[in-house]
Amino acid sequence: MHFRAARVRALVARDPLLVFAFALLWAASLAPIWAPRLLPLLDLPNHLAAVAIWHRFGDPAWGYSHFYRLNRLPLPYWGYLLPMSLLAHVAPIEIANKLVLSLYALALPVGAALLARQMGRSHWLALFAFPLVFNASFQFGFVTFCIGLAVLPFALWALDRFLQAPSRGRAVALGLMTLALYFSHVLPWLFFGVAAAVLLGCHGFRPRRIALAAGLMLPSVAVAAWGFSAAARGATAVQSGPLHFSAKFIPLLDAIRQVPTSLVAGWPSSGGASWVVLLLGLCWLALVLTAEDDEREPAPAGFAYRLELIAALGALAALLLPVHLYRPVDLWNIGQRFVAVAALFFALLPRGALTERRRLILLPVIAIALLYPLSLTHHWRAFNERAQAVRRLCEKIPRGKSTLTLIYGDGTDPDVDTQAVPYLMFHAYPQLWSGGFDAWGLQTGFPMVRIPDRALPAPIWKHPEKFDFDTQGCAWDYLLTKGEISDGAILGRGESDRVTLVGHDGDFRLYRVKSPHVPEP
Amino acid sequence: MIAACKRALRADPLLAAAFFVLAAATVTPIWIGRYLPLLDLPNHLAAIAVWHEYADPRFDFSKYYTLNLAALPYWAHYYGCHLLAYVFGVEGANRVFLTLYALALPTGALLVARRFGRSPLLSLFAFPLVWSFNLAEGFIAFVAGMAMVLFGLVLADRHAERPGLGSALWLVLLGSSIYFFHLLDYMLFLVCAGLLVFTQPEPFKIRKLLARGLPVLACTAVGLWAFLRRSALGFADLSGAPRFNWDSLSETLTHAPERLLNVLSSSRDEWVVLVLGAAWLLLALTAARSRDPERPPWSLCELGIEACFLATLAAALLLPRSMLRPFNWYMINGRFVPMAALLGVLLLRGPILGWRRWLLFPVVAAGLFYAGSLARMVVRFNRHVAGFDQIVQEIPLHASTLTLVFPPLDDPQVNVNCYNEWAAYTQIRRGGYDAYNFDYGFPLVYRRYKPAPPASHPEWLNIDREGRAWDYFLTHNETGDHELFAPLAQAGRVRLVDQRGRWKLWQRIEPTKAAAPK
Repeated sequence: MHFRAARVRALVARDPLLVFAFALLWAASLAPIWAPRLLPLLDLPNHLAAVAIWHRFGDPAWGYSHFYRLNRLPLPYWGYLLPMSLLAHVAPIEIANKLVLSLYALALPVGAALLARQMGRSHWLALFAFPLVFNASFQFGFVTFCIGLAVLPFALWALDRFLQAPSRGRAVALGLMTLALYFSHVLPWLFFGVAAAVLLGCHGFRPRRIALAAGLMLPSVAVAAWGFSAAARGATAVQSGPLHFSAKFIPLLDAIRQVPTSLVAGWPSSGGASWVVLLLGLCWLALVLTAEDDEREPAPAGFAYRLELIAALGALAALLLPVHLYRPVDLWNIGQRFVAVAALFFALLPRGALTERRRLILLPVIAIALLYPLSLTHHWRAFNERAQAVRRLCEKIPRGKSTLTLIYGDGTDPDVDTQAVPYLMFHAYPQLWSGGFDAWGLQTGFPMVRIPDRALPAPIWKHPEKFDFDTQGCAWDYLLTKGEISDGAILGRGESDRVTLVGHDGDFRLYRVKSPHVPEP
Repeated sequence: MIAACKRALRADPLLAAAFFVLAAATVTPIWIGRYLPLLDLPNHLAAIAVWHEYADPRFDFSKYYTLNLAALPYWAHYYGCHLLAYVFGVEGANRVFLTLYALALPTGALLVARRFGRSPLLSLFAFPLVWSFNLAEGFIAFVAGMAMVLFGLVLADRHAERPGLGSALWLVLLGSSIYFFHLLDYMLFLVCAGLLVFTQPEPFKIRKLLARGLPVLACTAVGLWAFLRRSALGFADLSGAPRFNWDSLSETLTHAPERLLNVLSSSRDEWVVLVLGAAWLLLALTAARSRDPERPPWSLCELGIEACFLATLAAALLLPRSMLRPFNWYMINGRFVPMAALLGVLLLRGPILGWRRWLLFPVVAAGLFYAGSLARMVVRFNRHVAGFDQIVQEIPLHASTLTLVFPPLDDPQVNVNCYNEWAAYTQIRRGGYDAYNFDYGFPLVYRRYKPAPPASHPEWLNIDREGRAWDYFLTHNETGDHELFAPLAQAGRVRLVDQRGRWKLWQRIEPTKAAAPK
């Protein structure tokens, strides 16, 4: 510990400006995470509800154990759910989530700085990573993927360092990082696998060293094989039966077109986020065009263009991977997730020291990295003001009761990027705050699996117009709606006396079902 | 300039070889088939044909049109082709014009690269950009004007560096001539040339500023003259406040890639863009390792290309998408994307030497692959229009023909509705009246209008209301749901003269009534 503190002190002494810039930009990045209570991140409510089920499973008052059983196979998502579950012992789940996201917001640029240094670039380039914290995957609530994205540079850094000069400490770091990556998300882990294959060949032909490095990464492969085969036999996201590949791809032009809108989260009222992308792009271009190798620094060991190879892999993944993988695992928006991965590595490509006039190019980068999260905070707070109505209504639901949430309209918010559709997964919030069952919660099979025949009937997801009280609504304790044109509009003739309007707050209404009962199939 | 170009090519035989091979490949699609599937091309050709054949009694153009030859943009294309048509015919003249453009753009890039101290090898990137989406849209005067802008910038910078009477005259002549290509090119030239005046040593010294800037100011004279005489020039109806269509920055960025190449409906052109982008980036990243550390740091007066690039980028990002009033001006900002890309390529400083020259290999390969793909597309497209030449010859001269194109208006090979203005080809071949010419008042002005359904709704044709003004109806894709004339034939109103491929020629049986007055 003393050794680490000394290293940190040495870093501060060597480049205090960089440390100050990191601290400042991290503080700014925390604003959108902490200022609004409810974050407009599409999938986030589902992840929070999954943590709640894991954490509170032993308490029957929440009613989770009636509908689910726990399934703790060694699958990805542990990297998010385990720290969340541990933190939940000392803080509420939502706060625990904010702590984890805050760590992610720091880890991504720090990892980028370490990788940049390892590849012979200036660690100042990692400042580009701050706006990338709020990438498209983040706004889609792919928190586990984002954690994987933050771990990825550390894993590459650990591998490259080991290949450069193996040591016991570096071996441990490599083994742990690859495991951490697997347990975060399968996509960054797979990407790392391909990038690792490239890196293994970038430090000369040293068979023993290469074999050792490959061996250190093998445990994650073994765990993955075990988890995958075990999952394929159960009710998880992994499709059972023989291995099949089925996916939907988009034309290359569409994949190129989605790049600018996949880099950072935006808001619909102006082109603010697009300006962020454009100005960062111009600054990066200026750095590329003014790049010079630093004569004072010794050239780093290994193939000089290995970072370029990794960046190219990222670009190919972003452009060529499918938009939706159906089999063997159901994964959505795969290619788009890699836009941020590619951008992270491309950001680190410019060579040479960032000193004197060249460092001035970073001033607009710092300004953008500072102002962008503050603008995001402003918009996300406005979203939070509207969304808090759900929270207030859910306080009226007794613990352990199940609530069916029906979102009418397109699920968008005037202050949130239209891609994010933040209200679409709000059905998970009643489950998080009050317990019970959620008809459309995560069905990845981890950390919980639904108990067959206990699921309550509900319309197809995203089709609230298919709601029918007699066959679905009567099975629930509460009904929460958004966007109803008037009180009781979802109910048919003669059904209004079977529910009680508990509250109407903003665009939301909460009904209590008078005599809940599961209808005969 | 020609000498400078020759010097650059002689100094580097590899560049010369690549340049000539790519030039030959790039012009091949222009000559390989009779018809080019470029959206606006047929109407441009019709305008040239009416001008060129105006006095020829075989075509009856003077019966339906008057000529307005005021000094307006497009003159360079129309008049150039009009002159060339004496030797090559109208369509051949246009091919020659397109060939000159296809050679001028990379040559201009080569000269710009030399002028601003960039590697001439970077000009190889310009070849694929010859076939940009602007060309697919048939913006021929515009793309040719963009090539002229490059020559103009070379002259502007040369004059700014060493002002003299000769260079000033050349600059005024060439800069003013860009007005006769396209207004957008002209405005871009004026902005960029103005910026080049200031990216020189001692930019604000009055004497130097005047010497450098006056010829650029003189270039604005023709534009100002046209603006002041706009009502007399007869170009469209210019009354009323302008109304524009704006895209958000997000939409503009999203649409930018499709404005670059994107001629082919396959992904081939996107792959070409990716290869070019990767090659450029590799050149840029490897440049860091080959720079001379003794070289003094760059100064602000060396940022001419950078200033022009930023101005073009701003035009691509900040101008409106289109104008709705006082006249419909389709696509404004998107036209600048290829030029921004070309100037972006030329941002790269330093020589390309040694092993780095191999990084140009994918550029040449991509250029050849793209040209080959385009040539294949043109050949296939010409197979699809087979039958048109034969069937159109069956229309007698002096007869009036309404050409109706039913959906789909595009071809499986290309990304534009290349049949949209096909009626113009009937007019070019057999003369007479076309209901769908560009009606901007230059160079042809309708004397009177014949009734016809909108080009986008041929199915709205009413044989009693519009049909009586026409002798023949030439249709494309009139099958299945679009059977318009078969029932009329059964009723004895028309008769099928011939059918070839997807083309059908019908003759109206009733006598024609006089056309409606304008």
